[in-house]
Amino acid sequence: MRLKLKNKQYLLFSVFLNQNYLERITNLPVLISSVKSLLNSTFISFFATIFSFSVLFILRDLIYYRSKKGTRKLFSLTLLLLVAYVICTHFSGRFYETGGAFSEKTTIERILYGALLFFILLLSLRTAWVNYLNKRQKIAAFWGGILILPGAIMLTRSATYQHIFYYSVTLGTFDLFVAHFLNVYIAIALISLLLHLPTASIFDRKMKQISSLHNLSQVINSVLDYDKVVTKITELVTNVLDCKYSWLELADGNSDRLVVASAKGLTNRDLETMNLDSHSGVSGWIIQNKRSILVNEVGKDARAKYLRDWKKDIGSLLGVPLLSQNQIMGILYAMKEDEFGFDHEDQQMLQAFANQATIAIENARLVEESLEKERLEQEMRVAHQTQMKLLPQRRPEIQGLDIDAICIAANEVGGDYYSFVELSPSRLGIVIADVSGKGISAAFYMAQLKGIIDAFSKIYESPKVLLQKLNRTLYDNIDRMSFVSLIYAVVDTNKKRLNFCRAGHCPVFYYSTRDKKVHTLVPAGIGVALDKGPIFDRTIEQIEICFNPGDIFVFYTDGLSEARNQNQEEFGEQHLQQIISQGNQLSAQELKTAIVDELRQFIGTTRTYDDMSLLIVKIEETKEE
Amino acid sequence: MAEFGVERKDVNGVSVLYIKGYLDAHTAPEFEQAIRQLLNEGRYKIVVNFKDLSYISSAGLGVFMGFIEEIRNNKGDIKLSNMTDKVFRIFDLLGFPSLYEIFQDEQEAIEKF
Repeated sequence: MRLKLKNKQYLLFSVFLNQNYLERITNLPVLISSVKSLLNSTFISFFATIFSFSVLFILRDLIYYRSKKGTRKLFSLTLLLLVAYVICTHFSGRFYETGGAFSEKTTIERILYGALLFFILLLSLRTAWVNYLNKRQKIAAFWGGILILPGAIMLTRSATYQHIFYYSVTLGTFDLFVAHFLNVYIAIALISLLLHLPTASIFDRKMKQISSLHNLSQVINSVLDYDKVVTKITELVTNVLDCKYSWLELADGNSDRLVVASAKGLTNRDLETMNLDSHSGVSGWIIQNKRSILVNEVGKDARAKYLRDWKKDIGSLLGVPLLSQNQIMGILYAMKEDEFGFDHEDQQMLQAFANQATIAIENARLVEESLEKERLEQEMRVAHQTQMKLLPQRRPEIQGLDIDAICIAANEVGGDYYSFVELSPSRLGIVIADVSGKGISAAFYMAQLKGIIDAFSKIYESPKVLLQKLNRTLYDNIDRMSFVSLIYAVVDTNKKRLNFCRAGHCPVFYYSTRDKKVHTLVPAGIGVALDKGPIFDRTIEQIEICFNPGDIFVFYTDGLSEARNQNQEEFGEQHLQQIISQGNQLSAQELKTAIVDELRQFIGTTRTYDDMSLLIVKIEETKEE
Repeated sequence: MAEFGVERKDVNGVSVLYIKGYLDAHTAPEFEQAIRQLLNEGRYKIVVNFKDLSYISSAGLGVFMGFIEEIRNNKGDIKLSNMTDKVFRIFDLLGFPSLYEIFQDEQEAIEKF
């Protein structure tokens, strides 16, 4: 029969059958009695091998889960031993000699087999993945294992594996060993699962807490929007602690009041009617003690009882402080309907959460502040540009006058201003002013000042009258804390006269060629917009200077005379007078340069806080004479 | 730079504010706050002692202007005393002596009320 088989089916099977197998079956006593069983053996071997490899891959993944380097080495070593063992079996031929059962193992095989068993036992202890299953998954895995294991054990003992051995001893050894490995692994995993089941729900919650903390730190890194951060915080709290209400109270920057920054589970009406007194109740307790509070029975706790009047369904509560540099920045609350709804672990977890939240909120605030700062700086730049545009873009051209001026803007926008009004070919109006205050408001008042002076200078010839009108107009339109110090002068080159009034401004330095001295001119007058009219009108004094060729008038603002060096010494008026006196032969531009150079040298790298302005009018020598 | 500071002393109906250091745009709000506090308490008779003030900027001067109307409308006043020559010169240039009474000595100022 066997021969018949051999003859008939030889060609058919030789294509994908094990050649040796066909030769061997003639020697084997049992089982291979029909074409059907022959086919069985072949297909079973084929699929069992695929199965074995799949099992190895799956086991590898399970064992490698959260494993260390040693485990990986152990696994590789086990595979290597398995190959060695299989090869040994292949060459020993123990199977055929006994006709269907193995004879005694050789020593090498014994050692290898023992080592393998030991190693798979070691590997089977690597069941870290069990830890990371949630309760439901653990239960499912446990029952799944219970169902599979007996089946798997029975399978290894069934005739199925005999088939493979008949097909190829090498394959059979391999497949069987992998099947054992699987069984051992399942058995140990089952024990591990069983041990983990009682603590599964606690573990679940821990995991949820850890992942929510992780989630929060991700929020910290990704969300910089303040509103989003605070919303996320209460959202995560209700999520993790499985509570009905959660809200976050934050200290209002300006007062010591607490303000609800975000809430979950509360209606707008709830928020309107809630008690935000930071001195009493639970909030008061937390602020005073700077630590968290756990109230198991809200209805019976004196500190928390009032909450029941507000919301009847609050059973238990947790409140934790948000501490920043040991200062209470806010309070985070979680409330449940059940009494004894929270435990100490929840309390600790909420505190950890609050600590993270503090960082997130501070970050978001810092970002907002820096944006605000950037906006202010931008505003300052605009103010500065506006200020600079208000200054004359060119020097006036009046026959007989040599004029130059400069405004050195401070690091912050100041309120210095100067301008020229060409009243006629021989008459020039000169304004130098310092608007009090800084930034946008100074630039704004400056623009107002320019408009008023430009208009009034065409109407009022006398500086005194002009300033009196200016004072009344500006007084009505300026903030009470602001005022302007200014000088208005009119130079008439025909009459060789300079008329001017000083409204609270720095003196005028007048170099006269007649006595070759620098005179300090300080006519009376109070600042513009300090008084509604009477006092200003009464005090303002106008003086007239009859000048000669070569005379110099120097106007400046206090930023220049009060400029400080690193030793906090002021540049000073005398210093300025000295330079004028020495430079009386210089042109207006040269004198300006001399003063500015000296000033820059004096200041050095010290930061300046006020604008510095300088305006020089020199009477030219008349060429006809 | 000397830190700005305000201290207060009440002498009967008159409140004396001692200001020191630099009074400029940055420190003016602190001084403003101190005066606002007095007005909130209904104290309109104020003497500002400048003994330890080393510098005052236009923003600092503005604080006096900001309250004087309200104070005078309530039959009170701000009187200034003990200015150093340098600080007095700043006040003088701006014409403050015609707006405020300035005294050599704090006691003199208090007695004037």
